[in-house]
Amino acid sequence: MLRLENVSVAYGARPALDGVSLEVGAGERLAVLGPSGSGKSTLLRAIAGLEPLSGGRIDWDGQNLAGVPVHLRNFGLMFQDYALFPHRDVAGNVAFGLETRAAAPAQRRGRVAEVLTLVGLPGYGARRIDQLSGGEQQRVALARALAPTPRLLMLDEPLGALDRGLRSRLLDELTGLFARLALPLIYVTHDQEEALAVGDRVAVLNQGRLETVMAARDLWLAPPNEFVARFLGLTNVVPMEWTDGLLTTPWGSLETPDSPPGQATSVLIRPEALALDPIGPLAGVVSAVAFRGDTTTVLVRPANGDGPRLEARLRSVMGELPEVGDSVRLNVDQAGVLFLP
Amino acid sequence: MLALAALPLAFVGLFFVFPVAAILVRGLAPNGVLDLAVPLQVLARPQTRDIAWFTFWQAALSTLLTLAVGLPGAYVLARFNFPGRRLLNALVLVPFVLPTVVVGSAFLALIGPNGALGVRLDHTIWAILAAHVFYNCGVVLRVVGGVWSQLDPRTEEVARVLGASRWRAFRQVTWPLLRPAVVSAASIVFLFCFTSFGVILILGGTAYATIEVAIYRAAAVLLDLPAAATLALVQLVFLAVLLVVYSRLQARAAVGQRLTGARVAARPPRGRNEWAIVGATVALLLIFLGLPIAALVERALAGSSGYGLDNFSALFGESARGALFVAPVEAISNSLFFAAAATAICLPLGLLAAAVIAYRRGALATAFDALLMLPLGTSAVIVGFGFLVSLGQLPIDLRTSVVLIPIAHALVALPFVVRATVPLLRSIDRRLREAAAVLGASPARTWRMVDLPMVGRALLVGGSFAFAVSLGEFGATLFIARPSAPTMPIAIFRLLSQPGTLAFGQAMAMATVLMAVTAIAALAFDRLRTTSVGGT
Repeated sequence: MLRLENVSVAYGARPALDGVSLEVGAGERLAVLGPSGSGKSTLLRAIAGLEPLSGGRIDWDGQNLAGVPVHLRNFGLMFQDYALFPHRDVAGNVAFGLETRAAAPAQRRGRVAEVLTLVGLPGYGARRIDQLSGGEQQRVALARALAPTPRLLMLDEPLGALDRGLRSRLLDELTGLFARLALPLIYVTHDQEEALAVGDRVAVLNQGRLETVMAARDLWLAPPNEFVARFLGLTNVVPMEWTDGLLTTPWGSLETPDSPPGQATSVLIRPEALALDPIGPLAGVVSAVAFRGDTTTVLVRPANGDGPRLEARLRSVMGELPEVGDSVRLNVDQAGVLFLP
Repeated sequence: MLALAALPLAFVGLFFVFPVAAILVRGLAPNGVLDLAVPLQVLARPQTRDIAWFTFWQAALSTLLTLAVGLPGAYVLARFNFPGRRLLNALVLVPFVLPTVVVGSAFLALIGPNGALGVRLDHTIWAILAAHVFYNCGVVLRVVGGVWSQLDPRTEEVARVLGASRWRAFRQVTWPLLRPAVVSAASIVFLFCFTSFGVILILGGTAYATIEVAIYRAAAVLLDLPAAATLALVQLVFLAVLLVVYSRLQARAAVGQRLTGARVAARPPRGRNEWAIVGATVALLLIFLGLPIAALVERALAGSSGYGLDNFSALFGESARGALFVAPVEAISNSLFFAAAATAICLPLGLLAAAVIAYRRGALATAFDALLMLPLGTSAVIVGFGFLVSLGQLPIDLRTSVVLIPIAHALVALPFVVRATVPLLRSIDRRLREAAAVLGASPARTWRMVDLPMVGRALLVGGSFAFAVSLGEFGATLFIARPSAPTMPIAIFRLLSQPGTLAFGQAMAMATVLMAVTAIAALAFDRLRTTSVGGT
C-alpha cells in the first residue's frame, strides 16, 4: 500500500511540502484537508510522480517509487477543473488510459461504456467536451481516471469548480460510488464537510506540514490544536484560565469535570452548545445578531467592555431572540467544551 | 458606416486592383485581345520552370529549418520562466521587423566577401536559407509560443498519469492542440520565403532567383515587359493557390480547438536537465539571432584604421564610385520624409478601414477585410511593377511624381495598420462607456475620457507600424524610386552592388542606421500594443 516517509518538495527555495509522512491502507479513503497553498495539490502531484521529491521517499507495497516514471505508476489522478482533452470526445477522453495500455478495441469500448454508466453518463460517448455542463465534465474526468482500473485514485478538489447545490448532490453520489469501488483513495479538498463525509481518516495540511491524521469522527470531536479546530469551522476558541475545576473566561466562570491537558490556555466552546438561560454561568452584551435560517448566530462580548466575541448558535424557532445591546446570560452543555493544547 | 469604407476602397482600387489588372491585361492581352502566345512561350522556357521550382523548394526548406530552430525556442519560452525571459521574448521579434535589405547586409557582414567570420557563403543557398531562418524565426516563436503558453500543462500531465510516455503524451495531447498554430506559423513563413526578394537579390547573386527576383530582372534590367508580366501572372496564381491551401488548413486545424483557459503555465526550470535544455536553447537563439546583427555593427564600425565612426562620417561625403547621384546621407532624410508622408496617408485610411471592420460584422465587412489584406498576400514587387505598367494610363502621369513612393508604402503598410488597430478598437468595452455615463460623464466627456485615449493609442500603434514598414520597404520602391531621391534600402542596395571597401563600409553604416531606426519604431509599437489601458 502507499507509504510516504518524510516527503519534501521544494519550488525553488520555498518548501511546498515539508517532511510529510502518511500511509494509505488497502481500500482506505484518506481525505486531505487544508487551506489553499497548504501543499495539498503538490502532495498528489508528488505521489503521481509529477513533482520531483527534494527529500524523503514514497513506497508502494514496500517498493520505492523513485525510479518509476509517471506513466508506469498506474495511479489515477483527477485534476481540479478536470483538464479534459479538448480535442477528443467523451469516449476518447475515457479511453485514453486504456489505449496507453494497449487494450483491444472491443474490450476498450466495453470498459468505456461500463465506467460511463458507473458515473451516470451512459450514452455520452460521442459528446464533445465543450457541450458538457460543469457537473458532466466532472463525471467524465472521474470516468477517465477510473477506466484503466488504477491501484490508487487521487482526486484534487473534485467538486471545487461546481456550484453549491450541485456540490452537495454530487458529494452524496461520490461517497456512494467510493464505497462500492473499494479502491484506496486520496481526496483533496479545502471543504471540511467534504473531507469529513468522504474520508475514513482526515489529514490536515498547513503550509506544507502535516498537522494531524485522524479518523474523521475523532477529528471533529477532538481537534488536536487551534489551527485544526479553526479550519474545521470551530472558531469559538476563547482564552481561559483553569484552577481546581473552575474554568474562567472573559464571560464568567464554569465548573468542568475534566482538567485541561498540560499548559492549555484556550478552550473551544461549540456555538451550538450555548443556549440562552437567565441563570446561566456566562454573561455578556450582544454585539451582533445574524439570522441564518434554521439557526441564528449571536455574538456576545464580555459585559465589562471590549474583548473577544463568543459565538452562540441559537435555534431560530425556539423562543425570543436577543437584540444588539441586550445583556444576556448563557448556559453551556459540557459536551461542547473542549480544551486545546 | 459603409460610407467610411469608400476612401480606403478607392485607394486600394486605384493603387492595387487597377495596377494588378493592368499587369494581367499586359500579360494576357497585350494588343487588346486575348493572346496567349507570349505567356505560353515564356512558360515553355526551361528557366521559368527552374525559377518556379527553386522558389518553391527554397521556401519549403526555409520553412522546415525555421520550424526546426523556432519550435524548441517556442517550447522553452512558453513552458519555462527564467531570468531574461521577457527581454528574450521582445528580442526574438527584432529580426522579423528588420528590413530585408538590412538582413541581407547583416549576412554579408557575417559571411560575405569582407565578412566577420572569414568564411564566404554569399551567393550560396546556405546564405539564403540562414537569412530566411534568421528573419522568420520570430514568427514561429511568437505564434507557436503564444499558443503553447496558453495550453494547460495539466492536460499533458493527466495523459502521463493515464499511462502515456512523455513522447506519447506530446504526440496525442500537446501536438493536436498545437498543430493549428504550427500550421499557421509555417504558412506565414512559407509565404514570406516564397515572395522573398531583397534577401535573394543581395545574398543570391546572379545564380539564384525567386519569381519575385525574376520579375524584377525581366522588367527593370532586361526590359522584357511581356516576360515580367507572365512571371507576375505565375506568381499571382501561386499566391492564390497558397492562400486557398492556407485557409483550408486553417479551417481543418481549427476543429476542436482549446477550451482550457489561459493559465500561467511557465515555471522555473528544475534540475540539471531542464536548466541544460533552457540554457542551450537560449544560447543558440542568442547566437543565431545576435551574430548577424553584431557582425553588421562590427563591420560598420571597422574602418581602414581600426574601429571608429569613419564609415558613418563617410555617409556625409560622396557615395563610392557614383553608386548614388547624391550623398548617402540624403537617403536618410528621404526615407524619413517618405515614411512620414506614407504614415500620413496610411493612418487615416487605415483607421477608417479598421473602424468599419471593428464595428461592422457580416459578409460585406468580411469581404472588405479580405480586399484590404490582398496587398499583403501579393508582393511588393508586383505592386511596384503594376505602378510602372499602369499609372502612365492615368490623366496625370504619377510615375514621375514624388508622391508615388509614399503611396506605394502606404499600400504595403495598410494591411499591417488595419490588423494592428482593429483589436484595439474592438477592445473598447461598451461597459466602459456605460460605466463612465453612470459615473456622471456627459457623452462628450465620455468620448474624451474613454474613447479618445484608446483611439489615440490605435493611432500611435498604426502610425509606428506604417512608419517602420515604409522605412524598410524595398521591392516596390526599387521600381519607382528616382535615382536622385533614393531611400535608405535603395541606397544600401546600390552601395552593396559596388565593389570596394568604401562602398561596403558606407552600406554597413547605412544598414546599421536603418536597423536602429526600425528597431526603435518596432519596439515602441510592441510596447504600445502590449501595455493595456483597459478592456481586453
